[in-house]
Amino acid sequence: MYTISSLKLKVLAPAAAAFALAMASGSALAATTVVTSQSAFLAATRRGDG
Amino acid sequence: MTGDFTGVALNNSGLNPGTSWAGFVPPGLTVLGVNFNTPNPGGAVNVNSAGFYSSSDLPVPYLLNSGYTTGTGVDNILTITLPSAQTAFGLDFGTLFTSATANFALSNGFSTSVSNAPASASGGGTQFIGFLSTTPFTTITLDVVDGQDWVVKDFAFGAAAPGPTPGAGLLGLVALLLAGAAVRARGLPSH
Repeated sequence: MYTISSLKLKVLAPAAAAFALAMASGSALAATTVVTSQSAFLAATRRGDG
Repeated sequence: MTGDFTGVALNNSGLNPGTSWAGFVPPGLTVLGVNFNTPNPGGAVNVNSAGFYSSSDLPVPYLLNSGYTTGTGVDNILTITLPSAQTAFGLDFGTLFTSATANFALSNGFSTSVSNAPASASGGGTQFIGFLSTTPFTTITLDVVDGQDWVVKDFAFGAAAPGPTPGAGLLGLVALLLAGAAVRARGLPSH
């Protein structure tokens, strides 16, 4: 017989994992930012790596 | 790494004394490994010398489209291809004679628009825009509508300095909760 706690885990764990994956993939696109200050851009860039 | 168009050989004389220009049909012009090209049929990317049109023009050589789409209903498009995938790219850009909207698209799926980009040749100005991403990209597309012209004065690219990744904190929290739940579950009867 399943306990409430173990049922919660079996149901919630896959959902939480899927949510985490969605957040991770969603953040890839959202993680492109625009800067309009050249000095801010250069400060945030490791130049010479290109 | 930063670059501009000062070293490009300009082999055609301009209309005004002392000015010159050069045109680069596909595969376009490559500077510091960065390729500038256009997908427009019959198009080219040009480089104009400083003050090409008048004393109000940019004081340094700059890249622009040849005038091939006016009245055709086709956008003027510049495709910038980096030598390898990068996470940072920036450029000083403008539109030639009339302030217009410039549309940017990166190969990682990001896109944005800048309205009222400065008219470089009539006002001598450009505007900076930089893209910093956790998702590397290899191409940047600059698009202006038919009848408008894009201008690029200089560019920079490299790797965005490491920083906090959006979503990473939440991801870690979820992982921690799952781990805790798993530990608790081990102490519970399975059936």
